[in-house]
Amino acid sequence: MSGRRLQFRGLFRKYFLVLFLAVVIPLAANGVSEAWFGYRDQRARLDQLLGVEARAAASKIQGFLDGISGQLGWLVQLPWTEEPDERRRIDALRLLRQVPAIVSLTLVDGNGRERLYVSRIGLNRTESRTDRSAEAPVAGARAARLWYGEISYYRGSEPYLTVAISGNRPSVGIVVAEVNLKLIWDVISSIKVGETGYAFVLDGPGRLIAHPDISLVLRGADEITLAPFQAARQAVGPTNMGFATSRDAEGSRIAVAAAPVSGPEWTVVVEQPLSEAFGPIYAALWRTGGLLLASASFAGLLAYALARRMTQPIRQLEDGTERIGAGQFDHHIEIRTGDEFQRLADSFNAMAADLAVSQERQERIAKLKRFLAPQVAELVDRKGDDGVLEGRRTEVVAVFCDLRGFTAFSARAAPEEVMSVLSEYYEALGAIITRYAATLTSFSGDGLMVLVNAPVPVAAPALRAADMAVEMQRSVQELIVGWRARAHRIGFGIGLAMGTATVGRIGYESRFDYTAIGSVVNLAARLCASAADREILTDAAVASAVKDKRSLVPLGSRPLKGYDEELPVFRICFEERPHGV
Amino acid sequence: MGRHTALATLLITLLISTAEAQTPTKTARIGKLCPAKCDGLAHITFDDEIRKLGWVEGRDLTIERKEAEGRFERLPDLAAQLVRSRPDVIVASSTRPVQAVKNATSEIPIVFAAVGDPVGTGLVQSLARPGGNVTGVTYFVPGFGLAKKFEIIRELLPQAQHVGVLASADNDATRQRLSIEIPIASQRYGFRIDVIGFRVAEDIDGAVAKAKMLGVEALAVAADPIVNTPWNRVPDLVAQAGIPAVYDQRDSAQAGGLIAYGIDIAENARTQARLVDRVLRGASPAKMPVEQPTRYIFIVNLKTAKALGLTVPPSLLSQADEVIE
Repeated sequence: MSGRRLQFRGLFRKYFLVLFLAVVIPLAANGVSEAWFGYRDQRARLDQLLGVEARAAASKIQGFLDGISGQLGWLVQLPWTEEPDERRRIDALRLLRQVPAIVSLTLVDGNGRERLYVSRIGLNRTESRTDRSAEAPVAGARAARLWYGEISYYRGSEPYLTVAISGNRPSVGIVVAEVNLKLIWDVISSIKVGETGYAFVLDGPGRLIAHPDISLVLRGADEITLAPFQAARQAVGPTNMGFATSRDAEGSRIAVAAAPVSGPEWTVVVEQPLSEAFGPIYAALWRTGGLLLASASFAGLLAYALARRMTQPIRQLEDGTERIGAGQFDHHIEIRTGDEFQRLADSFNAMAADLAVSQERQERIAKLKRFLAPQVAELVDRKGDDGVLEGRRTEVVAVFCDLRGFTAFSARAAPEEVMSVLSEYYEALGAIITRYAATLTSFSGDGLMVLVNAPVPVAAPALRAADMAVEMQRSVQELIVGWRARAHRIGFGIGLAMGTATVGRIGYESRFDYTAIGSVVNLAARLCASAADREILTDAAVASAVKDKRSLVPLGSRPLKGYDEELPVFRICFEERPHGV
Repeated sequence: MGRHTALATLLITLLISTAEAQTPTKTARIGKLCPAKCDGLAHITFDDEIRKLGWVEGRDLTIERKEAEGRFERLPDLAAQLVRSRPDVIVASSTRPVQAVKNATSEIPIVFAAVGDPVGTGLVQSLARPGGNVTGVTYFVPGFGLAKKFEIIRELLPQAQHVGVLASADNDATRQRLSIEIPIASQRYGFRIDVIGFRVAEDIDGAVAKAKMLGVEALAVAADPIVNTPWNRVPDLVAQAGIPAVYDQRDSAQAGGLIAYGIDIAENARTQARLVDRVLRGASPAKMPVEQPTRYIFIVNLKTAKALGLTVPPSLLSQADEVIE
């Protein structure tokens, strides 16, 4: 039983798994590929986006510097004379006012001598004529027109840049400006990359020039402060292609891209928290995951329902066959699936009905066989009509026989011996009764009653009955020889009579017997009682029917118990088979 | 698209909750130590800026103000009082009140707005890394500021010989400044320079009278809390005396002073407010670099010039951020 349960579960699991996987695998494959391609797209987009942001930021920083150098250009347009240039002084002072980032301006003439120095806080100088031609800014601007110095930290904190620019000819001289880079803050703080991303600027050696958090810039050349920014630039590498990932000062992962600022050889780095940069893909992943989960549960439910639908009828069939197998033929397998299962169930039901019919028939035959000869029983059953067993009056030959001295023997002998004797006795008689297609109506102890010509009529019933009686005597006498050898004194007598009797089934429920009622039965019984061992007594009716065919010995009229007058009795003679055969 | 709406709602809810989480729930407390009165441009600007940064006085901010009313000897006592009430941050502007507060506490953050030489006076270890509980915004470094005023006077009055400096005799920073800058100025511009000192607000009348009596051709007025309280007092007195004067702050020129050249104290106050905001949000002053002023003001009052019978040369006018006519 448990084995079958396991099998059942296995089938359910198989169906469930197959159905579930059939839905989930394509879904998962689709989700995973979508996520993967989404990730790649987002990376490509981010690559592009951060690259653009970096270049835009770089161009803004470039714009800041270009703005300053453009303003400075105005001061190197006219050639210097030996006279003090008051106009140019006013221009320089005005420039200081206009460009707050410029802290001071030094104007050098074509010979490299300082002609003017104006400062926002320091004291101005005019015509100092100090030779500055050997100084780096002057030499640099002479060589390259536009020269950017190294970053210096004013009072160890504010980054300053020296910018020098020469005019289109040597006589117009050179202007050297000190620029306070703290003012790039206005530019850098306005650059936003996404929601929380920002840009910062590093110079060649990796010092922080601009950052939205000004206090980081003002820390000067502080190794610890600068480390994450330098690492970020390092991560992007020298090619400035695409974005790289790095970690910011707090250790959070960031996406960075960089673009160069030509001239001072700075690098503008834009960074965006990776969580934000990949925000859309994370959102998409969550969405895909959620959908996948939802569809997996849906698929699970569906698969469960389907698998149940598949296995439920099988289980019902299994249960039905078990019940039918147990003989419960009225069990009806109720499957209304409208498919092969229903068909199968219907044929099961039909089979059960057939089985029921067949079993009923078997039972009936078994019942009939109890008192009818097997061939008669088959016949009755085949005709499907047991009307032949209905009560009626008919001519019958009643045959009675019993053993002489059996009561005394049974009182004396061991039960096993008694049963053994009876068993041999009935075996012999049963075979004969069957052979003569006679009807055994009843038996009790050693006596039995047999009818001939009922319920099925036969030809020459009297003769048949006489022959059967002879046969019986012969067989039993042979047995008696054996029994005598075992010192049992037993004899065998038969009485038969022919006449009209009422025959039919009597009894209740399944306990039915076929019997005959009438004087002929009584007569046969009396004749049997008066028959001695080896005797077959018959009445006048039988005797007249067989007198020409079998040898009879009239015994004259005998008084019989229950009869007022004496009745003629005949003995049928028979040849005993030689002993020992 | 119901899903998108739901997502948006969720996002908005999250944003709102984070925004709520960011706005301070507890009340921040600022202590303010003012050498004179806690008003004037710098104070107003600071209060405005701190409000813009999300701290509304009365809602999530209380400011405890202590005013010395020009009596510097009271500063240590007021500083001690402030420290006793344990505010989250103490705000003071110039060297003397900051020094007073620093002497009273080494724990409560102090943010200044106009200290000339915080390193030299020992308030911080360096501008880049203050290292203690003090940070802020600097003012003119000694050696600058006052000398620039002499430069302006020379430009304005090319013939002038005798110039006076109106300065507090009690202010160490001013004394240091004078000792450096007066020799530079007198050497470069050939001025004979008289320092006219005052100690308390009541000395101002006498100081201006003394300047007039000495016959100075122009006055450089050193920045000092007393000079600005009340804000039009010195310009009025000087104008009455008929002396051209160069001041330090915008409001002096607006009150009738001839020229003002100096650091934009409003900008300094805004920076100070920003630093205070960061301290209130948990930043340590030890790691917050001291900021330096970036904006300078140059204001010319042509009305006063006219009254004095002066012509302001174009070289000065070209530098002016503001010209009052």
